[in-house]
Amino acid sequence: MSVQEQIDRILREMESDGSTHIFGEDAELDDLEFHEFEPMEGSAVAAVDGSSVMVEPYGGIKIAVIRAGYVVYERGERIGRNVSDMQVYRMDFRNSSDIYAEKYREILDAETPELGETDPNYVMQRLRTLEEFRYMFMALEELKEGDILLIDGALRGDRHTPDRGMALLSEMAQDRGVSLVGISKDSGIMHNGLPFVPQVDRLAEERFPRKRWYAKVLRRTSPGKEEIFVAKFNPYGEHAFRTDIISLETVSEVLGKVSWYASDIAYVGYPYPLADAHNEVIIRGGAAEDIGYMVETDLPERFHRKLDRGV
Amino acid sequence: MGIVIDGEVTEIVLRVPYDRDIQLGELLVMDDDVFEGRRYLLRVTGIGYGYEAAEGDWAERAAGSMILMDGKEEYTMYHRERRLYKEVKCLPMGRIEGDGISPVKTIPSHFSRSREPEESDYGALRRYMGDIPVGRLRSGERALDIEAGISGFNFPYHMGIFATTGMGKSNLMRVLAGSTMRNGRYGMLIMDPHGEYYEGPSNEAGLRDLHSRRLRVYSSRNMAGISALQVSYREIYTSDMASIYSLSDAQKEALGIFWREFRGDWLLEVHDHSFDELVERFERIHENTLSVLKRRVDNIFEMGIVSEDPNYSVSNQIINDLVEGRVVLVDSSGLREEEELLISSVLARRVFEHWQNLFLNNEQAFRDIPPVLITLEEAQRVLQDAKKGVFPRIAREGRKFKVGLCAISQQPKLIHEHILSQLNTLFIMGLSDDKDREKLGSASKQDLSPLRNEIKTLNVGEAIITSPFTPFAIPVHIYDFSEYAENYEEEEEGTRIEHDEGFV
Repeated sequence: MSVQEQIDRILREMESDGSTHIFGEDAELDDLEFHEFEPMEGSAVAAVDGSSVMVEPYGGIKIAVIRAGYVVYERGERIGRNVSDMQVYRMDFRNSSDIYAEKYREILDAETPELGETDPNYVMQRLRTLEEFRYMFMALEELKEGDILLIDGALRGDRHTPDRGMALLSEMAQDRGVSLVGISKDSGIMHNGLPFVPQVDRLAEERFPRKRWYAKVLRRTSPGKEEIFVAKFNPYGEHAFRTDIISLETVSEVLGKVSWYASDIAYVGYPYPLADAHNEVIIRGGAAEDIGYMVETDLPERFHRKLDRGV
Repeated sequence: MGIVIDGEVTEIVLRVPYDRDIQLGELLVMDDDVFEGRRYLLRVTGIGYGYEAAEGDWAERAAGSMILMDGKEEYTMYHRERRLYKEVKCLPMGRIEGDGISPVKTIPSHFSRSREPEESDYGALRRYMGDIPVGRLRSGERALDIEAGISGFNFPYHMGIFATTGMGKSNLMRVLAGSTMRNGRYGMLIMDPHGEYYEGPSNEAGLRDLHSRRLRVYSSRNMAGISALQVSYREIYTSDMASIYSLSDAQKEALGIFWREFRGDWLLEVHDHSFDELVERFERIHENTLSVLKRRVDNIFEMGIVSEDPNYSVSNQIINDLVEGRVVLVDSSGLREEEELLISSVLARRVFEHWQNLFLNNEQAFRDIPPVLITLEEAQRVLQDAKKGVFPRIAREGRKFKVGLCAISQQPKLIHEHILSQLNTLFIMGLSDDKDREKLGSASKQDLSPLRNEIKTLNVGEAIITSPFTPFAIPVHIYDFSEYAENYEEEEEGTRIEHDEGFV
């Protein structure tokens, strides 16, 4: 099969994919209502992110390395930073559930529901999400009414995200009058077999060239639940983003506060605190290599192999 | 100020804050992060942009956004101090050890930090700055509080001063002459064909403004209080004519005939005889050849610088002055080029032969005479041939007799490479021609390739002094002579070197 034929096949599969669940299969892009908004200065904005790497030194050993943290900005300055040390877990199919359960209890103060999978890579992702929740809770403690907590990704639970965590976070945020905003670089939303957000972006550019705008794509289903938008935070940004919001404030206020931080020249259109948080927590290749090396040199099996060599 | 991030023994790369104003040629000191007390002297040889970003095209994209948004939408750059930096390449000039500097044979430890030089670092540097200061040690464009120059001991190892017009050659020469006078331990014979050293160019000071007891001036012009420049006809050899004038083979052959016929009186004889007498006497020489030579000889006498008295000449007085450690300025600005070169050749040869004779015949006297430097403007005129004339001879043989040549030129590429290779100390100033810089780069006793960018960007009055006598090429900000003259103070007559073991 030629490359062109393979691409055609993939596109046909995408067209028949039933993954368009948010916008609604019957809806048309023309039905979207676009609104302009302006940046708003003044509120504090915290951003949380996490990162994880699976180090596999040799012999099937898997070492999960996780780090999470947050940064806080106010009036254009970073005023807070809290980033964990790297956390290291030796994981296999037998112990991954236990590690997860213990972490779940520690952070969400409850017994974990059935995990379903024991694949170390999958569990590592979930551990990372739990760690992110830990730092979301801590970040909320630093915020006051009218502030924003930015999260990398959607606010609704997915296969990695425990519903309990999101529920606790939402409740705590509303108690403090803080808005939760999840920004997704990869929205996961499809429409007519194609990525949804770029389609909205293109349409908006025709109607609102060089403007900040948003369009609601999912209404709130119950109090405390998120609303989902596609938003452009800077007229000169390259991309629009899926933006999930849980807030007591108006959408324009919330997006205005976020967009005030979307003017960094290297990340035009993307809230800089999220980029900063990402850069703070990221586990770079060198750090992962160091851990692999430490494991490799410390394991007693290695010494045995060395001792036995040439005998 | 900067931290090591990369490099090797011959080049160190630093990360320097983006807002640090750093310049090519700036001197830095690096304290080793592991080996306590170990210091390196670095010189900035390259400055580039650095970005700390995950994506390689970060800066390109940011610039694109700026262009797009300028004047239309406000933007900012968070964490500029983290994301932007300067990548600074440095030449390790040496390791500072006590009061000396040794060659670098290793690298500073990871993440060692650089800083600006401090007083405590200067001691090691001062050791190499010589006893003939010409300016201040330069760090980038900034002059440090260290006098820099050369050692008069190295005059006999020959020098070159090279710069495009207007870059400060004349100023440097006046400062060099002034410092030599102030020192009083060395002789210097300055040939000044432009008449710009004694009185100075307009609005600038000249050597006369130093009011030095150690300056002697001889001029071809009629100047009040200045000795007339005149040599005896017997001091001009036919070989001088052959090396200065552009002569045909027939003319050279005719000169040989004159010498055989008249010996040391040849010049006066040719001058005194009429053309017809010469034709009659030298039947073997073609009339046209005789005519040309006769005209040239007569011209020499017309300039009034050649005495018809065999015993009258300023040469001996000049030699005495130089022996006494004085600076002798020969102002030949009133002469045509050929005659000016002729006089310069005669005087240079007389000095050279005097020092040579003492070396050969009077060891004690030779020990007592100071090293002497003979400076020659537009030196490319007589140094294109490595063997013709007295100046190439001085470059080849002078070191042994404590006689040095200082070639001054704006076109070093025209100087014969064998001569250039004899010039151990080079003052490299602003040179606009790539070929000139390349020629000096290959002639230098130090590797100048890391300084290529710095040499290209030298300002007026800035120089790099290279020599085998210092562990690194010395960047200098030459004194402005007018300011130098205002502060000039001369001590009592200097004590001359009584025993110069190096030349015995």
